[in-house]
Amino acid sequence: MADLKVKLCGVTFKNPIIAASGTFGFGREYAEFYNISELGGISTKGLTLKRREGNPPPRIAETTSGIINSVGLQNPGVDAFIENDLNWLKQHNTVIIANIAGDTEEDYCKMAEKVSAAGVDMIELNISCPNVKKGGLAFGSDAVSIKSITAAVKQSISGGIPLIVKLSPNVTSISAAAEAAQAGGADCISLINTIGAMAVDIKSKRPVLANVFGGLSGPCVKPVALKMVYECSRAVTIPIIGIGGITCAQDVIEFMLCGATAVQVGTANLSSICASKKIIDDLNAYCDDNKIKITDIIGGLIV
Amino acid sequence: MTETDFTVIENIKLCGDVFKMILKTENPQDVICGQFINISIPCRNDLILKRPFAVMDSDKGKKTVTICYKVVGKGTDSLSRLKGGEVLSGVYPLGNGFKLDGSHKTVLLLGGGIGIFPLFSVFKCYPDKKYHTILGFKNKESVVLSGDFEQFSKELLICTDDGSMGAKGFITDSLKRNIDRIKPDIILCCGPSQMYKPLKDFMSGYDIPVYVSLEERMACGIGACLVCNCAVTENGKQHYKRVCKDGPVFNLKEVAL
Repeated sequence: MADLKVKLCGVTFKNPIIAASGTFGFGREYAEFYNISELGGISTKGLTLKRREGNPPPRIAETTSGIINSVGLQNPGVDAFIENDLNWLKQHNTVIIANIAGDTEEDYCKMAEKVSAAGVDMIELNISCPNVKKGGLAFGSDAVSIKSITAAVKQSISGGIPLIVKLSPNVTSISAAAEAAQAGGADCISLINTIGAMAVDIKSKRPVLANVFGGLSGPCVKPVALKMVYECSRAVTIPIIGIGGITCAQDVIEFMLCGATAVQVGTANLSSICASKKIIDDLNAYCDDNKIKITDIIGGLIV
Repeated sequence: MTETDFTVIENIKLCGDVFKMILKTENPQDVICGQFINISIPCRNDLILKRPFAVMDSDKGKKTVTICYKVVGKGTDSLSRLKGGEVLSGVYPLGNGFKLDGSHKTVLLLGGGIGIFPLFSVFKCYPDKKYHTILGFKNKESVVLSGDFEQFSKELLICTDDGSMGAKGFITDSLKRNIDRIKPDIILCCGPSQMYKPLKDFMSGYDIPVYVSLEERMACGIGACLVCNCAVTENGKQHYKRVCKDGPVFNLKEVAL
């Protein structure tokens, strides 16, 4: 067994693989297939202050080596999550990250208060969901608002729970966004969220998604994500969680070489239910074969 | 439920664009009729999602799962070209399936087009029921498995849109002509989505439960990603349910159309 442990903002992960928000629910469905305690961490389905029904279907379109989704943050609301799911999640030996999304700054702050009081390990600020009209992306698209929402939420968190700010790739400068998050007091950044996209059905001459626009993810976005993670790693000193099209151990190593301390696996969980587990097994074999510990890889890109 | 490898045993054309595939696994599971399997498309890295298909037949002893499918896009086109011996990944059994109880003695199966496939699995699951079956197709050339359905049905009625085989018209037309004679205790249905509205309207005049198997664009297939939702009405309120996990079988009464 290789040493796959990584530390992010004082939180120890048994390995750098985190299930990405929106692809893993609250873990219950995957737990029927494998022991989710094997994961380094789980970022919950994006939570909002009140229950959200999400967007009308169709909510997904497959595109070449990717998918475009427009779920629209369907979730039971933060209180229902705390009441019905959090305790169940806590029974598992994995880092629990509450992903929160709001319509207003007040929403974000209220949720940060609630989840920190309920006891999660980390909070991930979703200011980059492309699928809801208000909030979400509105906060994540310029440096000034990224800094101010980050600072406001940071103040609402109790118990010293670290704050991750999840960045949108739909910006002019990702490094400026990362710097703004750091200036606002973020303990960590995660990137990238999905890329704004659409799909067209030529038979009906209509958009495939009922919401017209959605967010692109999957292997096709990996080169974009790698570049952005690398750019951010040069711009900020806080740790980075790399996200974007990871399907295998090699992809994880690429992100870590570019400066990510940990990664999130999202779309791959939809392609293969046991994808994250297999990635962990393969990473273990890679480190064993190369006689290294996983942290040796971080930021090792030779340019 | 498991995610496991399957070997293609047989992949034959039934008619037109419709194929039948028999898969074998070393990890066979118990399947309820109406459940489905989500399978990967081998050697197509561009197609990253698995595809959901109703399990038409399964045999735990022989370790086989049978599906039928119509070529409608890149994924099913690639599937249709698979040869025996090729390996794919599948997750099964998924979804809730059709459930019958002792009060359901006479069962009416309503199947339209490729929607007939999930209905075929009902016979084996509940062999002691009296089945009446109405199958609808576009035309004579697209009629498949009629012999198989006939074997297990007390009565099989076929209708085609153009009248080239059986009665001319839609399944709902045939249902209207025959329901009072058949007097079913329950109706199980799967077909194109546009048939559900007229079916629901007509059945509102009867106190007979109708269960339909729905289809929606899907991803994980296990209820986590929330992309395959359909609108349902419960206690007067409309909200979304997951076709893959809460369905694919729903009481037609609660489906918002």
